[in-house]
Amino acid sequence: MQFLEQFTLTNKLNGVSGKLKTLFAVLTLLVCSFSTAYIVPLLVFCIMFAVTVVVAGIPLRFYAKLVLAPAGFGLVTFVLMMFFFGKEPFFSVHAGNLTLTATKDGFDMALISVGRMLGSVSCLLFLALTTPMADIFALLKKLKLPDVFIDLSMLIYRYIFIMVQEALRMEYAQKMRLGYSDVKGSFRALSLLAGNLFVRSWDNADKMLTAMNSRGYEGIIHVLEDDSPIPRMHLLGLAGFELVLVSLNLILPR
Amino acid sequence: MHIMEGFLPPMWAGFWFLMSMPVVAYGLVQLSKLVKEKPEIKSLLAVAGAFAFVLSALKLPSPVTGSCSHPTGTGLGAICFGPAITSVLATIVLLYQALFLAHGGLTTLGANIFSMGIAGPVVAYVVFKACQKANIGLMPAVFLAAALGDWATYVTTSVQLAVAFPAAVGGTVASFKIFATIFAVTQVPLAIAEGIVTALIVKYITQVRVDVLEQLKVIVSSKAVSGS
Repeated sequence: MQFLEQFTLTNKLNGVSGKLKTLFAVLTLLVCSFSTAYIVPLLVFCIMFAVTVVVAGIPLRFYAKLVLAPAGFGLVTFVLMMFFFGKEPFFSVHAGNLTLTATKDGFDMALISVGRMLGSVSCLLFLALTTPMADIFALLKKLKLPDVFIDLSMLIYRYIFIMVQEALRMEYAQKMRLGYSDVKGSFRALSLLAGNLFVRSWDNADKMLTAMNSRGYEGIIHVLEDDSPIPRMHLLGLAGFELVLVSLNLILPR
Repeated sequence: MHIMEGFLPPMWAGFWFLMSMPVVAYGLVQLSKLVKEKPEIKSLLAVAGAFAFVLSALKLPSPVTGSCSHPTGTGLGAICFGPAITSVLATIVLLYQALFLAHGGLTTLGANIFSMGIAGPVVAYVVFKACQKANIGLMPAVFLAAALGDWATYVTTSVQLAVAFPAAVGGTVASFKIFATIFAVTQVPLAIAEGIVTALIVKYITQVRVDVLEQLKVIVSSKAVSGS
């Protein structure tokens, strides 16, 4: 199993401030989801794709696989909306004695919804592939979210990776012993795996918490944060970029 | 399957944030209280959260091929901790699903929290409590709670999509029918599968570590009664 997170520490944008990257992704995401012209989200998609694959150097094949799911979902939605969600006739498709009529307003709705989705997904992918979780935790702390929330997020973050590894190991062992050979066996194997995983991980987590407590843990994990301010030129550039996107929205026809 | 990033119009994305935030805030208050009272429960909370993530990343043995859904994993949390705290766990899990797997998204986080973190767990919790009152046994109670909770999540998703994208002819009701066919109907076998798996997990836990469930007051034992 490949997590997007594994690229965050090895991509070529690693030296850039996490705050700047998050700001870039989130602001563009907001502009994109408020877009009224369908060209803007598609433009965002192209820019984000270029920044993620060309500048940050995320492998194209990996990126393409990630985009495939939303693209497939988008295609289905597009067809559905075009044929079933509008009133004004646009064009008809004849298949045997079946006639499907596409609608103009449905087509417009599909275009903007699917466009916005693709643009937004590219923003999310940029954030997920280039920004280490530690930077995001630092930002959440800046946003004054409660300590207990951040602390629990960090613990869950840690546990996800341990548990996934353990789950895969157990699954492998079960498959070696014909664990998933039929439907009934699959249910049995999966629930054995999940139950065992739950109990074992809880035991381990308990031990870890005891170890942390004896080392002065008081309900918050302190992490050294990058406090360097974002260069003013970068901020200006970012503001300029978002302004261009917003004004494009205002100029272009809906 | 969660609502994809950027798919909801901004107004509806904001609306669902407004709907979920009070519940999550209330859950956070309860969570801080619980952690202050019993600091050792934190390991269980963390494992429950990570567990929901891992479960949702695993594939359920699905009787229907081509269905792209996965278990929500929140039924177990709702039974153990109640819906309010589960909504906080679900928020964290959904954030990680968006960032690690590109499932769901940031703008649609509010809507996804509402369906997976609030509607599903509330249904699961209510069903579980009702089943306990009716005294039908632990396994069937867990099965019904998890299955109906899972299903409620996807019905809620269909409603969310339908109100955001009403059809020009027939309005919200017509588009609900379309979305419900995609999400809720295909989800029925998966909901049953999630129910079976959750029940079997609880059965396994009762076999090896009954004390876990007694501590959480999921089941009442003779020891727990004398203790309290």
